[in-house]
Amino acid sequence: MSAHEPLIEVSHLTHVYHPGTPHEVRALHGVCLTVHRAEFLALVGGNGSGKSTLAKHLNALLLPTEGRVVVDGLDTRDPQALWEIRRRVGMVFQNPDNQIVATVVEEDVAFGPENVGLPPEEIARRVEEALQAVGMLDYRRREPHLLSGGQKQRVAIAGVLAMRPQCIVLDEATTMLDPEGRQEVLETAHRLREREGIAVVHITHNMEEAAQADRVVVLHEGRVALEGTPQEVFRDVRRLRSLRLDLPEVAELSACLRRRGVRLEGQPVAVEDLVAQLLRQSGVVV
Amino acid sequence: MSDPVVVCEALTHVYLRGTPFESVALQGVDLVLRRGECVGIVGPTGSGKSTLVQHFNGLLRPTEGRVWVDGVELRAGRGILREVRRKVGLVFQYPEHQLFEATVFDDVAFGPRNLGLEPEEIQERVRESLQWVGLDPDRFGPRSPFSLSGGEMRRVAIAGVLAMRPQVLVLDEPTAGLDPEGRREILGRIRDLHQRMGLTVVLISHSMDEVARMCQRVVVLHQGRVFLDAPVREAFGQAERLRSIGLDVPHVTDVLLRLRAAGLPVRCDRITVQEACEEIVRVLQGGRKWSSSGV
Repeated sequence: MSAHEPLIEVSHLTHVYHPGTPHEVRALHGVCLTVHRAEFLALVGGNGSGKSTLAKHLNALLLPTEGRVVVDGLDTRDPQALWEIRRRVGMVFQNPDNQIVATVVEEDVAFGPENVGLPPEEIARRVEEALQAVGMLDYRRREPHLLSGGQKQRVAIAGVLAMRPQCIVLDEATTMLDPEGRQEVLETAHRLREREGIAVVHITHNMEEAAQADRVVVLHEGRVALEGTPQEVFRDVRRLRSLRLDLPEVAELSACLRRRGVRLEGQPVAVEDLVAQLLRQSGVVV
Repeated sequence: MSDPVVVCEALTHVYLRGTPFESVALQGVDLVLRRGECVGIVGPTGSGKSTLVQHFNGLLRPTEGRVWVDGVELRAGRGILREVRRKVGLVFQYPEHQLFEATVFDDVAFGPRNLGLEPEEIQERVRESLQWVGLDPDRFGPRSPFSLSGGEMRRVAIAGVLAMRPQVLVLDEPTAGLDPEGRREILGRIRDLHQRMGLTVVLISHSMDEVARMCQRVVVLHQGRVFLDAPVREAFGQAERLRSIGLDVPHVTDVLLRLRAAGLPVRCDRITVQEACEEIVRVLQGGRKWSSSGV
């Protein structure tokens, strides 16, 4: 399977909550978006920009008011396809307490695979791999309620991984983790993308995390406001602030250096890129 | 140096002592917070940060060791907890989940009403607290808290704590889950409270960038002990030590450390974007002949 091949196609998606009532809210207006196989896509935007509404359309938790969403050839409006779509696209939400159902960690991770009737050996293998991938294998027999928030979240992520999805949607799933936990989760997601070709849609308010994606999509007031590589998106601080966003620290430093006359190619957003460029300029051989 | 406002001496806290679930959350923590400081408390998940700050206003009692607030020792059964809870205001994670009144005004007024204050005094405190967090009392007071944005709701929750007129404001991850704009707003307000109102601020944060921008001093907890307690510049210069326990340094410090490791004589105790920018420009423009004393 090749990258750049579309996995999820969102066409002219409009979503209206409580249509025809005084509480009617138009959360998305004609959004077009493609999620490619094996790509790491960051979805960013201010509070109320429609990110979560869009995310919930990716595995048919919400259905379009207008437009359509097609996952691996399956239309989310087709009730027959629901189960297949949810196997392909797994969601991890922000609050881990709403996602853990079992009383022992490994049973929680096994919940999905058991539901689809996999053989016990296969379930055991998947549970072990998934817990290993999120750094929670040592906790396999613990009770989830005694874990910290970060640890619970990693268990929830393992639960999705155990279903071997084609796409994982992380709906602010790193928000409550410590830096090490965040990095572990992101590295896990990047690794799954590289090795298994799993696409990742990472919804985050953390601009540093978005800067690590292949592509960044910015939503604002229910529309796609910006789209491109991190370098392209994290360029214009005034534009980003008008969208309730900000530059990642490294991009801010790059912008500051450019203003002070330091010549940089593009506006580096990654520490490695900026450091390499500065070392070349200074004459230090890299 | 200003006088101590919170003092922990050999503070140990054990959860569920004597059960199979016994867990030692804090071990022999010595800590002094001085009046008017802004201190960042950082540490990996489970390092004891939340347990520690819950001792600052008597929500938890030490298993061993002692805690003083504003010169008064916190002990069971002495009727001082009420007083201490007014002096130390704790803003928990996601405090907006604790909003419950029909209007913003009533929610902020909840604490002062419990103190039995006169209506005029309550009115004044509510107005003042809402102004401190940047919400116009006339506009926001009559509204339902649940009609507000996430960042606004959080500021209402902080106003509710400020209405108790605390001397120490402890905030546990105050920017978690907010968008960058909401984060800028909250941090700006906290900075004002610290700088203009002279409040002692304790900021628990996972974001080293945030701590670098806000605080003068950082206390690093690891496995229930104080791992490092130093001025922020000094602390973030010790990248390897911090990384050894799974913490990071601010991104701009990371850039400087890497430049230095590759042989550029930049000082690494520059922790904001502006400072780091100046430092890099200085070195690139021939400052290399200067001797560098920084770590």
